Amino acid sequence: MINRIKLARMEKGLTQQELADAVDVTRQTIHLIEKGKYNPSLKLCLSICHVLDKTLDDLFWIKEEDNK
Amino acid sequence: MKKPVRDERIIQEAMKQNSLGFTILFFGLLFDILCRQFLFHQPISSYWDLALLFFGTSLYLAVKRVSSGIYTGKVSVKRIIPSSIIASIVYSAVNYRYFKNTDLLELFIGAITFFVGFLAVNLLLQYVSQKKNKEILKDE
Repeated sequence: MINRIKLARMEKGLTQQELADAVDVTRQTIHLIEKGKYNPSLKLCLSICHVLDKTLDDLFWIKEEDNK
Repeated sequence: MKKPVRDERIIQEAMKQNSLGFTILFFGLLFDILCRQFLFHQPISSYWDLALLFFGTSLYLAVKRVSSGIYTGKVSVKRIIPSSIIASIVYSAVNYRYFKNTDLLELFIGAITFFVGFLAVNLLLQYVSQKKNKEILKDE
């Protein structure tokens, strides 16, 4: 799964720690999500979208080859 | 006081590690019981507590897996027959080799009884699991 959380977070002027606090996870989790090394649950995806004022489609999508 | 963070990644990771730890313990316990029984020929009175723990946990896992509908395949006698035959052969071999049962008729009757029992239990597990899966698909 690919995401554009880092860009959206910077646009919003939030640090990783601030976003992590807002969605009740650790900073490490946000870091891993941004690097694409951890796939968050749907609940966490929605929380992140809510905090960053984006939709799921704006922030998350799946690689073409993973979709097959 | 700051509320502790309930990070799903940490919870998932802890669960994965717990699961691996359980698997190591579970098979370690099985290995220990087999060694005590077949290698050291200890009487069952010296390890009955471990055996009870092992078989109790196995039973719990079987009941939970079936009742949660994890097995999604259809009830099929054909699929269970090969594993039942192998289990019966192993049972008879253990009976012959370790329990020194050399009466062929007894061995044969034991193997048949084990085969039927093994098949019946597996069929029952599949049937209950299938029933649970049908229940999940019900609207109300």
